[in-house]
This record gives sequence, structure tokens and C-alpha cells, in this order.
Amino acid sequence: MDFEAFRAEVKRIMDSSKIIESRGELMLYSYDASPAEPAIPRMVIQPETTNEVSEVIKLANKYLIPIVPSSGRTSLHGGPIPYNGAVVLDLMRMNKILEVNLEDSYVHVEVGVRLDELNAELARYGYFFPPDPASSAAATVGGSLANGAGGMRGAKYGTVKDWVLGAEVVLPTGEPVFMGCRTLKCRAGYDLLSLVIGSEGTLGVITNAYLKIWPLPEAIVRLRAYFRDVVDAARAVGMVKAKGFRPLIVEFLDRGTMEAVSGYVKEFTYPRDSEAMLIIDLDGPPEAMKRYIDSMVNILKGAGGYGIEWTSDKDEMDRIYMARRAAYPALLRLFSGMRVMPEDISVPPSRLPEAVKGIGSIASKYGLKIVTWGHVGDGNLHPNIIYNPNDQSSVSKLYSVSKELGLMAINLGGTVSSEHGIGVLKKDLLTSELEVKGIAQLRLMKAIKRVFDPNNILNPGKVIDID
Amino acid sequence: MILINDQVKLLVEKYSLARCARCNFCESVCPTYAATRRRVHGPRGRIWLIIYLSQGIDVNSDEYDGLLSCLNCRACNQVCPAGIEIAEAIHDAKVLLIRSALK
Amino acid sequence: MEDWLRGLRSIMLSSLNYNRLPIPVERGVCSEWARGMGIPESGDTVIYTSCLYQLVPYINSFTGLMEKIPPSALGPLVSRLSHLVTSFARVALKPPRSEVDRVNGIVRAIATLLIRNGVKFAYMPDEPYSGALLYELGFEDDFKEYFSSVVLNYFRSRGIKNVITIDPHTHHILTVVAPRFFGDLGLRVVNYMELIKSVDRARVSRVVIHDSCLYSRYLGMRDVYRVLLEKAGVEHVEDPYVTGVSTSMCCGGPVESINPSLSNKVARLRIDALSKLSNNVVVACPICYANLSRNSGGRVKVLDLAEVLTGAQ
Repeated sequence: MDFEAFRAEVKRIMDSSKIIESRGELMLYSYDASPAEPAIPRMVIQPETTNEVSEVIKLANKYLIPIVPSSGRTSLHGGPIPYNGAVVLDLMRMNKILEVNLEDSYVHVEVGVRLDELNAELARYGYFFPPDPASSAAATVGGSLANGAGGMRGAKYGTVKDWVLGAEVVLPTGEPVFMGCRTLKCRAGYDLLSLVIGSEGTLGVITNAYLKIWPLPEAIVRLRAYFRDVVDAARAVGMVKAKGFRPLIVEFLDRGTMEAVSGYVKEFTYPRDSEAMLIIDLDGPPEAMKRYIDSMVNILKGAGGYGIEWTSDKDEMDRIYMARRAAYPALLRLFSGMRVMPEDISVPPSRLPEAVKGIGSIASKYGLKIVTWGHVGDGNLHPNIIYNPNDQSSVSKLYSVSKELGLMAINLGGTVSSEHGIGVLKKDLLTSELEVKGIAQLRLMKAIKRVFDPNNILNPGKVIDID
Repeated sequence: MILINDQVKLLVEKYSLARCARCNFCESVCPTYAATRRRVHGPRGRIWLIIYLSQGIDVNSDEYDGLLSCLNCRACNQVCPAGIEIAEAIHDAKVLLIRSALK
Repeated sequence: MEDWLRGLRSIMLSSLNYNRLPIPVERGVCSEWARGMGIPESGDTVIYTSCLYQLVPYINSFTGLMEKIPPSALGPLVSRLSHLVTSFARVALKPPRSEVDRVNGIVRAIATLLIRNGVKFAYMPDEPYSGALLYELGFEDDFKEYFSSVVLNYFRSRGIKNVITIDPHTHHILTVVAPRFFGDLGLRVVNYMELIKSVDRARVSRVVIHDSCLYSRYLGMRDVYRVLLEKAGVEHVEDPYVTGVSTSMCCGGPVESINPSLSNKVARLRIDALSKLSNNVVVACPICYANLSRNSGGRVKVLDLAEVLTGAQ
């Protein structure tokens, strides 16, 4: 590693306004939104073009300098933290929406554009990009692609990997390539694009992408139901799907979430005897809505749902959704001095009842509060662990709880990370999951990393360790 | 550069800046961040610069400018899930920085 | 930067000391608008312009000057020679007559609206500036000193009971900031918009509103001017990403004396966003008016609310 030589060459090719070296500002790149240990980068570079990214990475590869690509820095697993004196490549200045093409159904966009900004623009054309992580106000296209983001609409629309046609990717050796296609169908050899999506910046730096877009739903109706038993709520989800419905969202809130929200939002009330709440959005043609609603109400009642309400009025929809929207702010404000770690497991929807019970017993075993909500249409649960960052034993319990939640998900046939990623915090859990699914895959992953990145310069130590 | 750590510490406590979950919603509505795309010009960056100041870490002139060039427009307050009064905290930090600069 | 802060402070303080205005111009510019309007010069209910609208053309010249010589370069010089700079500025700040007429017209439009709505009020040719700039930039100690010794004394010594503000900065100072420092000021403060019930039919039919941060996010008044525009028959285009409570971005004005190039850049981005919705931008704040019109690049027409409500625009 020859940082001084790297630094000198970077300064030759990059304008000084794109280089950050002062300590205070570097420290602003030392963290993400996770509890992972912070680390200060040696330098931050703010490229504006693919060519600049390529030139910087060539130099990094020449002088063996670790490079961490990042943009919104909203990660929940330590992925963008620059350990071991890494240099951060801040992609936020690559923030142009290059083309909206309705005929070919794509948007060509640079990676520093935030998802909400992208959808605001697409809405002008009556279109949208469906993946919708809760952080969409702050999360960028680049971060979402690199981390395989999902969101509430996952049950219907999948995650980002289902919505990328092609992308310009700078390889860890500095060569820019275009992976995938601009067309919907694409069989050009091995699917390298799919390897890069979700690789958390370890296999390449995505600089712009062609994303599939979809017409906005014609009409949406929102339903809400309470359940006396979480098992009933989970069963209701299964029945909805078995009847052939593919709701836009199915949000589950446990009693702890409802309690927290009612402590924070005065207007929010819920039946004392309810243990769970479901919020379901159905979309479709307006003429079909009445039929859908009748059928849904029957299903929900049949599963033990009560207090069922439905509406297509925008304000009323907002009112129902408030319980979910206010959940995270409620946790941040109610537990003073504490922090929230949003966990991210998935189980097959049929195993949701067991998972919800399992979360309860893990919480009581360690004496940490866990408040759970989730996108249960696809079996994705977010158990939010409340811990005290200033209490060493609370922090170590946090990691134990996180580990047990992951192991439970594996046992139920699920996965340790649905849409947040692995980063540094879940490397061990990834190994546990691969042990069940065939540990030979870890060998393949390491080999793939070495092929892409022979000098291990791109976000080293994230997702997997190669030695 | 300046020794105002103790007063900044009080400020960090007054506004419970440690509640910042670093979600970065604030940066997306910040006009100065939009103009420069430098994190010293964004609310999350400014909040953390204040926290660093309270820990005795000096700020250089760019970071100093970052704090002083906050518009106090309060857009960030509106979107902060932790309910931090970001604009007010930065205003109070400006007052301390200016007081110390004028000494 | 510290040099510049010292310099900026001495310019402001020596100017306030000289004419009770934040920048060194002749006092006459503050009261020119009232000529021929027949508004009495004493009474217990007064319109308090804080001279903010009237100063806009001078602020524009001042900022134009500053963008050419950045604060970092100007700082050391100004901190040592602030008195010289002040006298120089008095001579150098000569804005175009058309700009001066325009802002005087806005103040006259506000007064006209009040008169037509049956509000009886006096005006004060020698009214002092509120000190808002000192407070907003962070010179809080100087603000407290200035406000209590000059502004508060002024109102008290003249037995003024009711104050009508015409801009958000002064309104915020009188209703929120000063009471926090000094308790009850013994003044009843209302904003002119709250006194307007009937308005004229506007000439423009479709506009986009640029919200003042203070009216919108500090004072909870963003609906007041929306309702007034509707009464004047004006459609205001809304967009959740341009005119929402959290997304309506600032004009950049508050930092024009700290980082002028940043301030102008923020304004130009704001113009970009607003121009997608309408070519007519309505503002209700002199600082927004100054910063946006200076940076509009001819792409949009920046109109003050009062100009629209009197049918002048």
C-alpha cells in the first residue's frame, strides 16, 4: 500500500473541490445508520463521471488502496464503513436522471439519485420504480442496487434485482463495462449483473443503471384489520394469497408497535385485546375494487380479523397508515437514551406464526425489548431491537439477539437478511446459513471475489472474508 | 482553534443530539446540501460536527463555514424521525462559534 | 472566516449605530414609500416595515459586491477598516431607480390593502430596524443589546400598543424571539396578512408559491397567503416535492453575507424547481424577493403577494 503515491496521483487527475481530507469532514464518513464500529477514511473522493470513478479505481488498484463506494450512507449493517484506512468514493454528485423512456419502459439514472426523487420524476409520466425501502427518502439508486433493497411492495414486485435491466459498472481493476442489457430479455452469457446487484460494492462500482419502470396503479384501496392472536394474522396473510390476491403491501404490526405508536401519536388508538394489526393495500382497475373488497373482508373475518376498515380516500388512507409510518419515530422518541437496531429476517409466510413467537422468546431470554413489524406478504419481518449503546452488556446482548434471530430464520427455512444486506455485522450469520444450504458456496463466493478483485481493494472485509 | 467544548457539550445534551439515528432523511431536504453535495453543508453532517466539537475535535474552515452557512430553514426538523430540533441546535452552535470568534 | 465575522459585525453595528439600519444607507429610503399616502405619523397602532423591503435594492448591490470579493478575502481588510468601508458603501451602493420604485410599490401595496380593509394605522419615518439579521446570523449578544436599547425603547417611549408587521423576519423577532429573551413586550403584534379580508382580482391567474421558511415552518402561516391568493382568483400550483411543508426549499437568502456564492446557488436551484411549475413565482418575504429575483435569470417573474392582491400583477 502506497497511500502517498496514490494521493499525489489522485490530486493530479481530480479537481481539489472533489477531494476531502480535513479530519472533521472525513469523520462524517465514519459511520452509517448501524451500530457497527465507526472508522475514519483517509480521504473522500467525490467523482462526477464514470471516467473519474474508473481513473480513481485504477490508481487504487495500482497502489493497493482499499476503496469503499457509498452514497446515502443509510446502511444498517456497516457495509460502507471505511475500515483499515480506506478511501471513500462518495457517489452523491452523480445525481442525474438521464432518460425516461416510456416506449422501452426504462429509466436511465445515475446512482446518486434518491429513490423518492426518482419516483417523483417518474410520477410525472404516470410511472414508478416499485422497490420501496423504508429509507427511500434518503436511500439512493446506487445503495439500493448494491444492497439488494426491497421494501413494502416486495410481495408483489420483488426487490431491486427484479427491476434492473443493465448497469454501467466499474470493475475493481478500473475497467468500465456495461453489464446486462437495455432490453427486457437478455441472455448474454453468465448473468454478471445479478452478481453485482447485492454485492455491497465488493465486486464493482455501479455508476448508472437502466431500471425497469411500471405504470402507477390505477386505483388503490387500503384495508385494516386487528387480530387477537398473531397466528391468526399470519394465517390471514396465507389465505389472502391462497385466494389469488397479490396485495401491493401487507404490513404487519405487533402489539409492541401499536403500544409505541399510541404513546407517540395521541390520535392513534387500538382495541385493547388485539395482538396484531394488518394493513393491506390492493391495487387494480377501479371497477374491480368493490368485488376485491368484499372478498378481502370475508377472508380477513374468516381468519379472525375484526375492527375491519377499508377506504380509498387519500386522507383516510394516510390515517390508517399512520400506525406504520409513525412506528420508527415512536421508537426513537419513546425510549430515551436507547437506540434501535432494525433486524431483517425472512421466513416462508407459512412459518410466520412460529417466527413471531420465536421473537418473543428470544426477547425474554435476553431481557431486551423487541418491537416487530414487517412486510409479511413475503414473510419479511423487522424485529426492532431496543438497546442501550452506552451499556456494554446491552450491546453484547444486542449482538446475541441478532444472532439468535438469524439462526431461528435459518431453522424455519428462511434467511438471515432479506433486504438490508450482510455488511460486517452478518458475516457469521451468512456462514451459518451457507452451512445449512451447502458450505461449498462460500468457497465459490470467495473465488468470485478474487476473480473480480484480484487485489482485494473494493470494499474489502464486507459480506465475506477472503482469507 | 477554539475551546468551547464545555458549552457545546451542554448544547449536545440540551437537544439530545445523541438521538440522531443517522438515517439521513434530513440531507434529502437540505437546500445547502443540494447546492454543494458536501456533507458539511447537510444537517446530519452539521449535527455530527457539533457532537465532534463537544468531544474536543477541532473544525477547520470548511467545516466552520458548514455550520455558519446553515439557512436555519427548518426543513430538516420536519423530516427527522427522532424529532431533533436540528435548526435550533445549529443556531445555538453558531452563537457559540461567533462568540468565541469575537473574543 | 473569523476575520470576516468581525468585519461583518462591525459593518452591521456601525451602520445600526449610524442610522439604525443594518447596512449603511440614508434613512430617507425607508419612508419614501409613504409620500402622498396621507398616513399619519403618530398613533398607538403602527405599520412596522423594519425597512426590510426598502433595503432590498441596496442588499442586492451589497451582495453583488461581495460575490466578487469573497468574505475570506474581504475579512482581514474589513475588520480593520470597517468605518472606511461603511462610508464607502454609502457612496457606492446606488441601485437602479426601477428597483427602488418596485420595492416602494410593494410597501405601498401592503399599506393600500390595509387601508381598503378599514385598518387604521400610523407609520414611523424614523422606525429602527428590528435586528433580525443579527439574531439570525448568530450574533445573539449583539441582538439582545440592540433590541432592548433601541427597538424596545423606541416602541415604549412612543406609547405604541399595536404593531402590524409586513415581513416574516420582523414578525418572528417580535412574536417569538424577543419574548423569549425579554418576556412580554407589551405589544400586540399582528401580521398584515391576518388583517386582510377582501382583495382585488389579480391579473395573474396561475402561480407557484415560494414559501417563506419563517411563515411556513416557524410561524405556521403557510395557509394564510394561500387563502388570500384564492380569494384573488389565483390558482396556485402545488407539488409535493416543490411546495410541500418539508420540501419547499429556502431561497438561500439567510446566508448571503456568510457565503454569497452558496446563497446564490441555493436560489438558482430553487428557481429551477419553481420554474417547472409556473413562470410566476409569488413570494411574501423581502429576503426571498431579493434572493430569488436576483437569481431568476429571466426564467421566472418574481411577484410579491401584495402586488398580486392589489391587482398590480
